[in-house]
Amino acid sequence: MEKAYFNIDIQLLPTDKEYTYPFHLYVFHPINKTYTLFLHANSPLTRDKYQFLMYIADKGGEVSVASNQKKTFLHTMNLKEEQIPDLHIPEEHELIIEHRKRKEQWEKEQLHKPKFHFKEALAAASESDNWLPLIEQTRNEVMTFSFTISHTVSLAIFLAENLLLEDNHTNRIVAFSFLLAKGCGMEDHQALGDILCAAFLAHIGHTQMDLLYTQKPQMQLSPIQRNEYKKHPGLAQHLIRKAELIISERCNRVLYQHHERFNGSGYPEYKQGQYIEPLALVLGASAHVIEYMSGRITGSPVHLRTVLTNIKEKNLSPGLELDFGDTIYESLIYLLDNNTTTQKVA
Amino acid sequence: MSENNKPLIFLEPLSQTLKKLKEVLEENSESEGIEIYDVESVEEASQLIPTIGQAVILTASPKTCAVTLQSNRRYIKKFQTKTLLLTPKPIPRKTLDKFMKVGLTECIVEPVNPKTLLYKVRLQLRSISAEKDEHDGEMQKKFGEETSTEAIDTLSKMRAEKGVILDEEPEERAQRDKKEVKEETLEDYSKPKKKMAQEETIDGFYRGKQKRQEVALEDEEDTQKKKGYQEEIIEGHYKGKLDKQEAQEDTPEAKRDKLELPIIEEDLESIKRQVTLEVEEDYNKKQRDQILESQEAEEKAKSPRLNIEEEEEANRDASNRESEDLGGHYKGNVNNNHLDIEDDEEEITQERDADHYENLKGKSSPTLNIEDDEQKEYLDKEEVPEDISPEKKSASLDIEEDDQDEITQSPKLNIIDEKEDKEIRREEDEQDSITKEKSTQLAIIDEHEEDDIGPKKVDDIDGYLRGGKARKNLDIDNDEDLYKDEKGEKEKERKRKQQASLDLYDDENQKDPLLGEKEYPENRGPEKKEALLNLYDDEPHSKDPASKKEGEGYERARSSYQEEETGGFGKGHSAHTQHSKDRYNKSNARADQIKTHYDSREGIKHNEGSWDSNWEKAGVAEQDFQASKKENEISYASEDLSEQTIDYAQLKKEFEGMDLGHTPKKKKDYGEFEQVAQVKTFTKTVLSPTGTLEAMEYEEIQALAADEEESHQVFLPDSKGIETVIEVLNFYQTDNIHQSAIYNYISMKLDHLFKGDLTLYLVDKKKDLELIHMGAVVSQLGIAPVKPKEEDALDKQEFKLLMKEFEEEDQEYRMQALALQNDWKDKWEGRLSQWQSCQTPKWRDHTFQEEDNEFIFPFYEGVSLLGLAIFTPKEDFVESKSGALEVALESLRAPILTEYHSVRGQGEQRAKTIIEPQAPTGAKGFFKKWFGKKAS
Repeated sequence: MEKAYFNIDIQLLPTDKEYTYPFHLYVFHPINKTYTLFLHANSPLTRDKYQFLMYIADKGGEVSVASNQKKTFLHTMNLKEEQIPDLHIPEEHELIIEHRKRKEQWEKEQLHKPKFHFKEALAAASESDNWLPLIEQTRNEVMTFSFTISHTVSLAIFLAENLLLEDNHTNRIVAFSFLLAKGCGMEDHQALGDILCAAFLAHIGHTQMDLLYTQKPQMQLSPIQRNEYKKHPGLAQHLIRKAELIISERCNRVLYQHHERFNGSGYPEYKQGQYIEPLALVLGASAHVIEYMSGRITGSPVHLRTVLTNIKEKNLSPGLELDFGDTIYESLIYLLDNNTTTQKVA
Repeated sequence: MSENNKPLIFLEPLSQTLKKLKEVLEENSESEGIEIYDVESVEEASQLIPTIGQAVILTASPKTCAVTLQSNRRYIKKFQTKTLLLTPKPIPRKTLDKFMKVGLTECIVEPVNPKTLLYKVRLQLRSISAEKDEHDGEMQKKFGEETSTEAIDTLSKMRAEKGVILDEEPEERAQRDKKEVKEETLEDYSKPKKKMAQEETIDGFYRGKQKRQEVALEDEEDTQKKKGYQEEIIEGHYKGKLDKQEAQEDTPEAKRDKLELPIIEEDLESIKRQVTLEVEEDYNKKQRDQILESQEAEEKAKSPRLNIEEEEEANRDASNRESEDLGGHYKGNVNNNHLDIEDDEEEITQERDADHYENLKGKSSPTLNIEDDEQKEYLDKEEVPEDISPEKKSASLDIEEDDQDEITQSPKLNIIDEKEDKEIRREEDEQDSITKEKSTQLAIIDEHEEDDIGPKKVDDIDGYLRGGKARKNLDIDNDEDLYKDEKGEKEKERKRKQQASLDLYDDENQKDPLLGEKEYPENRGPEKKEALLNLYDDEPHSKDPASKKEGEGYERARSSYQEEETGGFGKGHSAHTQHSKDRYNKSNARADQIKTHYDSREGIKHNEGSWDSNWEKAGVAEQDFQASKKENEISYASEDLSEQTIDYAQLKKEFEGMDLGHTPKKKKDYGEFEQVAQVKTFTKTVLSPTGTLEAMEYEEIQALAADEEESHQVFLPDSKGIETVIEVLNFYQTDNIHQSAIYNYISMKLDHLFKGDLTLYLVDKKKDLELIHMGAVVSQLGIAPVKPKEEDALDKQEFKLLMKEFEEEDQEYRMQALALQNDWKDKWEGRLSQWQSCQTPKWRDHTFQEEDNEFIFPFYEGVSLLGLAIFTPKEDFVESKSGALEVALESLRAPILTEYHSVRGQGEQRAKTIIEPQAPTGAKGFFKKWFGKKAS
């Protein structure tokens, strides 16, 4: 679709005297993304107005002309279309081509492959203790995301592509949270990108802490150590800021709040219910289930089914007395339900 | 009415709010010194207002308010009576201005906070307490002795009629003893009139009206007054006419009429009074002036016509003061009006007189001119400056006012009895013919009048009026429908002319009725139209003061009045009066009501709260006059839109808030926030009340286009090296991982990503830096050979074999590693002290010019140095990767912290990956494991 306006360099408008142009002049506001009429056609561009135009340009605004007056503009100014950079049709970015290729391939594969069922795949992964199918599924899916959505989504694609290659603790959390979020009905690529990045980055705070906190089961930490451990979301944020990593506000919130619990028993801000970012609850639940399963909570690895059963029965086993909210609870319980294996979750 | 009590008038209809207010005030009326009057009709109000002096009037109907204000404008002005109008609909500014001009103090738009309303009412009440006397005094000063006495007399009479004791006003007593006598009772009042001609005449005006209601006693008094008028004739020029008319009243017919009138037409009379009361005093003056002028003119001009006039006048004066009218021809209008105001009977006589003298006037036109000029001068000197002073005439508005003043008078003529009307109709026909014949004469008179009215007016304009307007009037007389047709055209003309404001006469003529319509669109029924028509008719008469026209106009006024009678008089009347008052008031109103003007605007804002009662819809329906205005407003707004005015202020505001330097940072902080903002903009445009549907669609397209545009923007994945941290984190999470393994892992990662070696120095117990790890060794020699495990071997022999191989490999590895370490120490350790001083991560040569550049990354916990990480690139380092390198090095903090804590706390042996040169005999335990299990 052709643009309604094209930006021109303010220098194209001569300043030696007051000119009258046969085309309307607009100004483009880069933040609002709006074009506002600045000067009617055939009205003189007075010095005052030109100065104001300069002021706008200094502030980051752009001088624009309506596309339907392109010929008038070019003719009047004695210019060629090539001389106006904004009139060039931008070449398609290689990443867009790449994305299109990936998407096409993904769609092709989907035709031949049986449909991915998260519940079944999860059950199989936990049985065989091989989460690679889930991780791969996540990777492939994320890689079909567009590079044109946002920085976070692009980062998610990058991280998924480069890191979701093996079955490790972080990747399990990433895959599980991603698929669980989809299971909770979040299909928006932005949201999925947010949770994927947040899942990757949620625990990087551990790199700023004693290895003790990474390797010692959380239940075995002393109260002082536990308090120290609670600093990791903040440290993660700190590291992200230090790295000048561009992530969305929501992603930032998700990774910061991933230890918040629905009933307010979490940390670091002791938020409750609706005040917690829903994706943070998803990530929190996923990470906790994986950590619990791998023994990082209690010190002894547990089967996923056991974890989910304990959550379902609310038997308040140590480390599982957490409230993730009804939606996530139901989603987790659903994963346990044997009767609905045919039902698609993701 | 006790002296202290302040009168508060509730004028029906009352809104719920006012009813509540009334209840509230009634409870405390005594304690607050308020006397509450409940007035049901405009007539009643116009009787009451002049008698009670300064008061506060509350009403909820704009229409009623307008009529009341107009009909009592004079007294409201005089007493500074406060009028508060409560209206459920905001009144258009134009209309409000008009209200203000006729004496509205404040317009309060409902719903209004009860407290606010109460406060406002009390404030007004408080303001009226002591002002009464002052205003009277002012009036006296303004109008001179005579006028003041007139005013007082009228007041006193009114009161006397109403049975009010006049002792309340000490001024009056002080001024004249006679007044006191009059004030006491009606009878007392009537007696002194005979003695004092001036007073009598003045009183007569009011008496006529009010006494009619009672009985015909007034007739006698009137005649007495009229006789007394002779004295006034000397002073008043204009009044000559009045006197004539008054004199005519004495005729038997008039007397009969008088007797009949009060009983039959009480209502009408009361309405008439409203109208007439306003202008009474002013016109009294005028009349007197006229009389004076006419006499002077008579003296100067010795033409035969004049003589005739004079003679006649003299006769009339002697008998009935009829001759006075001769002096001012067009003034006749004025005088007629006054007469109307005074007495219906007087009006009748006036009309007849006018008829009689039309012929005479026509002849006496030259003398009239002189008179007019004189009048002008006279008026300039004596009259209220606003109306006639030449300075003010220069302003078009003032001229309008003047005209209006004249115009207003004509409607008053309408107050005539049916019987009289019939008679007058007959006369009309005659007059018409006369006027046609004497159009030229009229023209001359017009000129003079114009001179009087405003110096700006040109003869041409007069000519137009004479030819066009006067003729029109004639036509109208014959066929009113025709006039109606013309109205639309006139409207258009008026609009055009308003802009040009050249043809003042025309403007006025056309404007006034239309304005009336505008303000009271609900009155647009046929009755109203008639009223308006009358207005038209009347105006030219008043403006064309030519004697013949006057007669005509007078007759027309009568006929129109008859129509009004049959139709809704009140409405027509209101329209009439409104115009007249608007005009009349302007100059005065400006000065007097600047304050109230603003007050009312403020008042409109007070909409909060209520008395828990809603405005009755019926009341609202009455005030439909806004409807047409609204339409206008809408149309205006749409015009405005079409104009596409550019709001540069808004534009500046938009860009002012934009800090370009800050924008990218914001981007980083909030990531995709940009996109969210875009969505917001979209919603905004959809919700914004831009008006038309097309506009909305346009906005949507714009938004979509923006989306499309956005979709072409590619967000390049920029991890800033964070993936290294994630990978290292994953490595941490390997069970029982040792720091040395992490060092190696990170070294290999860094070598892979940035092509360089990582060297680690950590502080020991003595806080000296100790070489712990050399990435160069790992990168060049690989990981140190791992000691074979016994269980890995099939048997002991194999294990021995493995051990032997290991020892050989290890020996070689050690040798090479040591060599590398020594090289490092030779080459780099000279800079150790320099590195140690680094507080923050930095390149030794941040310009990347030097060959052997290194990146120094100090690790601190609080203020204590934990160690140093030195990255030495093997080849030219790309500066842009510096950030990623720094982030990657951040992942070293966990093992370094762990080591620091362990060394400081437990004194455990430090995990090292370097080769100790002073290695003991056994290689066992000397080497640490590169990967996997924790070193022993």
